[in-house]
Amino acid sequence: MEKLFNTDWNLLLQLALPMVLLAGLGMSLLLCSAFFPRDRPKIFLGVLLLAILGILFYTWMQWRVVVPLSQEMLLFDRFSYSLDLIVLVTLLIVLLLCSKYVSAEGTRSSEVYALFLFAVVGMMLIHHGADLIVIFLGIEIMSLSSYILTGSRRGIIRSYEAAMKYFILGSFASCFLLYGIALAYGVTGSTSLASLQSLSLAADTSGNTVLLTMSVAFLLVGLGFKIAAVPFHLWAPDVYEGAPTPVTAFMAAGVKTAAFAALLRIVLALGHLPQIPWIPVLWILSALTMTIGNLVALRQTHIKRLLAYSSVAHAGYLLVGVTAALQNNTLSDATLGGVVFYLFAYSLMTLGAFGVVVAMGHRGEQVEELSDFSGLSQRHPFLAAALTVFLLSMAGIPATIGFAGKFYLFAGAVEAGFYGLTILAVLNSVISVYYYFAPIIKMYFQPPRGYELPPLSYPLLAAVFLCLFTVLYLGIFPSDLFLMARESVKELIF
Amino acid sequence: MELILFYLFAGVVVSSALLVVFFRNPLSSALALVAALFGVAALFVLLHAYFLAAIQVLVYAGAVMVLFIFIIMMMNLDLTTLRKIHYSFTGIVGALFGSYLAAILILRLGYFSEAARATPEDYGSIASIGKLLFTDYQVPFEMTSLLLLVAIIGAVMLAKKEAKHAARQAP
Repeated sequence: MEKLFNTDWNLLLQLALPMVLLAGLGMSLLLCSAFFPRDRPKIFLGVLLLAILGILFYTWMQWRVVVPLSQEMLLFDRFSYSLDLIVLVTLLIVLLLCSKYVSAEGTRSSEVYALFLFAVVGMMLIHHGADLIVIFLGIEIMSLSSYILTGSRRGIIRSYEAAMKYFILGSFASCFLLYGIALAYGVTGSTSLASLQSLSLAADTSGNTVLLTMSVAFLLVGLGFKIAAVPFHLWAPDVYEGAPTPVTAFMAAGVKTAAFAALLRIVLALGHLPQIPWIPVLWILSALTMTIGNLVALRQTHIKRLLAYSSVAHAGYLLVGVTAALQNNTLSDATLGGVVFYLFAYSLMTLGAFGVVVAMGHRGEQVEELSDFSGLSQRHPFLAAALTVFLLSMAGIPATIGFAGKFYLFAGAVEAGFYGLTILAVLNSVISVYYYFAPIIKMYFQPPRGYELPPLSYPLLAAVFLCLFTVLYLGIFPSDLFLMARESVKELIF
Repeated sequence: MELILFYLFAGVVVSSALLVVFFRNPLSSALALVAALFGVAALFVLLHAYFLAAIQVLVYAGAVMVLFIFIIMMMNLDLTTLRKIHYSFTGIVGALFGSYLAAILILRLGYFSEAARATPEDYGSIASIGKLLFTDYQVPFEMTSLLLLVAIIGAVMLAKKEAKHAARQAP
């Protein structure tokens, strides 16, 4: 009999173990809840946290020893493992945040936890995808899980509305993505990133340039939707507002990271083609995204909408880094490392900020208007201080991780010669300071409204504290993480 | 023999497609569409595209049609309003594009040659597709199963009855 596989399955299992473990964990959770009718969210949470810590450690070990390898439509390099680390940390914090929410709102905790786990498996498959099919399926697994999680707040119309909106627009974006992939397949006859990367259109007479340009346009629309870049961002505020807050945190941090991973892989694989006007397109996209995101955020009075627009603006800053990384068709590891660093920084501070919003509403009521934050410094000093740090970090004030991230990102852009874009980005940061300070002023300089907040539950406290600690520690000593981010992008494979 | 079968099934497809348009009752139209899709599947079999035929029956005649019929039943259409014939803008545009498509198809019919059918013997057969799915495309195949699992969980989770939750929360 002929040999069907040339795959070293042991090696593949070893490399892909984090994903396999997470998927298995999710399925066994579902089985558990089928056999034991009583919901035990605390036991589930404990087991999950331990398991995720183990997987996190294993991924870190893999990051240290991995030799870039591409097999069975999956690829394993430091870039993918470092993004895995980001989404695993996100998962850890989100699970801590949603401990109260799963037991309070009448949803079975095992289902919610399993969906989070499956979404993260989808994200990791995006990071490890060596083929557009794998990337697309990963995006679908991730998106489908987040649509469902968005609608999981029982009996609240806003949640259903957000889920429906997200589902319809998201499916539409997926169609664009799929159309782009189909056109790319029409040009190369293959869906693998390697074939895209070795593509050359130097002496093209058969119209492949036109096809490929269209394909890239469709891919950018599809991915632009997933990262919420202007003008494809309109779903973000409504969905972020309607979704349960832990899910919002998960979408803002994890989903955006994974979508950026897909964007980076595809853009870098095709970046060497001079026929496609990458730089102008990405330049305009990033300029629009940060400017409109910041300007609209100025007028928001709802904290989740404010954070949604701020996350749109952050996608714009990240796109500055992507544009710079593409310049001269050379992979500059400092610039790309800056993007990875910023993804990590952005995830942490966003998770922290949403974590405080979760903590504010942890008795079940909706405490999401800016006015609800009045005098929080007297009602709960720790939460007020934590939110202040996260907002300062988002604005890019020194001694926080946000400043370090912006510094590396903009330094890379200057190095690539994008002075105009960098000036625009810095101006945008200055604008953003205004709306980030609005809640801070409310918390510290206005009389308190409402009762004193009761003590927080331990998981919530742990989540907020974890974010706070990393934001401050890595803000003061960012060089190790930046070194790691640079190492991650040195040997990219396709 | 093959020619007779071809004309038989082609006749089924065309006549049931016409019935889809001319039936007044949407449910009858949907059932006529099922017949048309089965006819197309039979045509695929005549072309030795067994996999496509099976998929045609399973996906279109099976899943998609069930969805259609469900929706028609749920909308509970009023048949008396449907009996009136409307000459709407969309109808005119639809007729224009329909006749355009028909013209292209009829004019182009002569251009098809035997050369276009020169594919390997096992091209698109169930065996070769199965082999590809479980070797080269194994990872995407497994990912699809995970995707379906997520969809099932979501359907169950979102469609569960609210009352059950109220009951569980009460004590």
